[in-house]
Amino acid sequence: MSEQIPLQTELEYFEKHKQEYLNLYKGQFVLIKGEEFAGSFTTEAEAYKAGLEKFGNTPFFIKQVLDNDETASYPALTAGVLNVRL
Amino acid sequence: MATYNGLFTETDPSGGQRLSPTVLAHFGPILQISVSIPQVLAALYTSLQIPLPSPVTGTALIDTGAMKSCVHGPIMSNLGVNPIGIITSLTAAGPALQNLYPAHFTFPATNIEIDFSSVVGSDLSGQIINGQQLIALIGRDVLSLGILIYNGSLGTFSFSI
Repeated sequence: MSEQIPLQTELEYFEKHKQEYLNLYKGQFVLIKGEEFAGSFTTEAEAYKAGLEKFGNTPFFIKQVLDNDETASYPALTAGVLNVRL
Repeated sequence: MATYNGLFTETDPSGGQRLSPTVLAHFGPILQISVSIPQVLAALYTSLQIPLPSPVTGTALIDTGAMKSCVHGPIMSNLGVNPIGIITSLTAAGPALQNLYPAHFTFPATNIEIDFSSVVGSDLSGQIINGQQLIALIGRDVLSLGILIYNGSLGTFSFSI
């Protein structure tokens, strides 16, 4: 079961502009709120701090600009091997 | 350098306790964890005189198969932390989009604290270890910061940062 995804607008905006960002900000972290580009940063932590300063504690989108997006895998969860009792 | 030592024991025939490779093998390297809001958000709250939400404490599993650490998603929502990104996770139900949250981990048995720019908000409902709800998986992003020693034949593990 996945959670509700509240950053769909920002994700779509990013995908729409991804090639432009790859040309300008490859490897950096871009900050997006709604359909507004709010800057590029060297680290994710810097982008989060800037987002908090600009937008407060509201949802905003931070994404590293890479050719291939990162994927997270959890073999233990995927295989369902975590339910353990003695 | 701070070190967490995990010792897994069982009752021996004389009624005493002895280290147990079997118990460690069953549970895996688990430890108590406290999940709280990221430090930069805590600083913002403090400057605005907003009370800090209480950390959530529970069981975490060190998972060398996990690239990024993850936290049970509702915990981050309940702490008032908003998502900052989306990642595709490979789950039992196939690929799924999951939120990324900044977070702060504390291991109460040590003075190890880690501030994350992002962890994955996963659904860990039903992930039970020894009757306790798992609230986090400690992934290789944390392991990259220190030294993990898993002594399976003795029934211990240690993690140092």
